[in-house]
Amino acid sequence: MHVAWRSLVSAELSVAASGLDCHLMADCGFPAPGAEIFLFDQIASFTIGNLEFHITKITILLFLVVFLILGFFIYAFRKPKLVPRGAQNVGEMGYLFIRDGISRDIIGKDGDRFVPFLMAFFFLVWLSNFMGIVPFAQIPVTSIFAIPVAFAIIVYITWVPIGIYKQGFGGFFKNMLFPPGVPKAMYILLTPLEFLSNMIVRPATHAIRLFANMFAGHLLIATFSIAAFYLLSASVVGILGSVASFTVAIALTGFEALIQFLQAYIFTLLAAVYLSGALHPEH
Amino acid sequence: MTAPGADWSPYNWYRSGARKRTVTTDDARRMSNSAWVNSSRLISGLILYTGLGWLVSRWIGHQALCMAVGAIAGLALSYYLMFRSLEHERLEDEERHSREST
Repeated sequence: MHVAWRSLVSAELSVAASGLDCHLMADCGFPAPGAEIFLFDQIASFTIGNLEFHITKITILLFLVVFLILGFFIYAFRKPKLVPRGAQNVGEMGYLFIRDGISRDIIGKDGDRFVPFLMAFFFLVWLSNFMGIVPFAQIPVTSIFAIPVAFAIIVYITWVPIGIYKQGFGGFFKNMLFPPGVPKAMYILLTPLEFLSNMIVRPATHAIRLFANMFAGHLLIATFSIAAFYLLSASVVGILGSVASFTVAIALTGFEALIQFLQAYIFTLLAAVYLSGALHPEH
Repeated sequence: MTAPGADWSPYNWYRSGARKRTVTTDDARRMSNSAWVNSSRLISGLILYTGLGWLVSRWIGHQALCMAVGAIAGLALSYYLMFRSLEHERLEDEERHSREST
């Protein structure tokens, strides 16, 4: 199995290493990072039938995230006690945060059945985002567009059948496509709008919101990290600029930690809003 | 300092200072839902009618005109829908509150 080094090192290092002599005075221009820092060479590949599978760093990180979450919660609840201690305490805090902070607020009491679903999504998205600031991982898994799209599709194929089951096929589409309080004639113009809004824009924005935040955040950190390396040279501008860029990169890392949590929260909140809309329709 | 009540939870600490609930949980839920619904309506009205305008202008030839008209019409329609549904929600809320208070 051939392991290309570019598939393992972080994007910042690989861009910077493509020109180790590339500094301010070296006349090589600022190597601004682009979309290529999100592309990783494959580590391994195999085929099942006609399908080709390529294992990249992203795949490994995603599996790592899943195993970490599974491992932690299985460990935390292996022998649940009435008075929680240690890991069980942390696990229960996570559970209560989702149940009281998201599910009960957005869906209500009947949302308790969906707490495991929401909780799984919250921790999956949060830890996937968090990989962006973990040393050596240094890429948010959700900054690869396919992954938030997959998450959003799972949410979509959950709330649509639940809505159809709860309100009936006709009732679900009637409640969705014919908003109340509008004169009948306007439905000709407004029904296509509602269809687009609920069936297409909803899942699309659900995925794009998470992806774009993680993509932009990673690009920002990469830009300032490379700038700190590029500006490092024997001149006043170089040293001051390098120190400033490095400071900004550190500050942005802290800021990203906040954004990562916030985006995971918003993703889960939106999943709860969609489920709530499917469970109790407006009249 | 008093001991926390039975429904005390560390996750609604931000509400612990409130003496009286001005907004019930149900109302808060409806409000947050309609906030998300309406933002999605604004985007889709704009996309749908700009796209339709673009198609019409491809068909009859006035490239910029129909698309611009479509964009404005789409945004106007989304705002109309938003105001109408918010008005409907307000009337429903008033009705419910008057029913609950009597």
